[in-house]
Amino acid sequence: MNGSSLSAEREHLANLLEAAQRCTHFLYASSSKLVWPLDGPALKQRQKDEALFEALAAFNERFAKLQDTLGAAMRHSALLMSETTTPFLKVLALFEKLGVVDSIASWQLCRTARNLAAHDYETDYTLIAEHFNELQALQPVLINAAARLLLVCAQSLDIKPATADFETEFMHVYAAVNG
Amino acid sequence: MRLTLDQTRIILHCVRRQFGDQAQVKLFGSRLDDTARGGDVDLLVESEHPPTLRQRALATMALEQALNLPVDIVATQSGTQGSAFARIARSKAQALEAQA
Repeated sequence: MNGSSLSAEREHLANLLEAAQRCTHFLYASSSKLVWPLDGPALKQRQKDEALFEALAAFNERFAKLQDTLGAAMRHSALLMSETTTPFLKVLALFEKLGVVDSIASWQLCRTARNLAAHDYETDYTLIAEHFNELQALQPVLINAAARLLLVCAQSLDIKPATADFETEFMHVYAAVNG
Repeated sequence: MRLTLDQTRIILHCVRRQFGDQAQVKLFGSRLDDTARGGDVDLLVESEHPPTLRQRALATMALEQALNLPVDIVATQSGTQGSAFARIARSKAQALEAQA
């Protein structure tokens, strides 16, 4: 990797870290619009409430987006640490060792839970409610991983988010989730 | 049924670890067709208590890792009808217990 490409790689990671902060902010914003826990009969009663189901769709999308962004950022961090980047399981093992992800299993649970639900919508409102309650329960797993990844990148690679535009919002969410 | 005895034992172990020892496990879908190739492992699980999404996720993860095959689990509570899809699956499913 020459100087120019290294600089581009570092800039790319900085952009991914900013994106992770941004995704965290918007995920939490969507989550905050909803009253937890959801329950099936209440969802059924509001089955035509466009605002409610838009908020749920946004929450679902943003949960997935945050996890995908963190995955990309971890892979890119591993590359800059001169670590193996394939298969992704090796990247996860590295970041489990570094304390960024609680465990490989918890990371995979987030992925499996969101994938299972993608197949299961139908019109069973109890299942829909359960899906969203599960993602809500798993939300801190991703947000705390984001916070620890930011720390590792700053300490090990001296790379911070490209801008501080979402720094305040991210810290607010982190404090709220861990409060 | 295109499952080895070892695969069947792994399935029963992983599913019952998540859903309880009383869980009934049945195979449905293309793995019942001895003339087909490949395909997911489609399982119908009937558990004593209402199954949760987390149980299904953890069982899916464990099975996909152990079998190195894609796994789809449909879960219902024993003694209930379940969704229309669960009823279709049940009508074509074959219990795994007898195989192990």
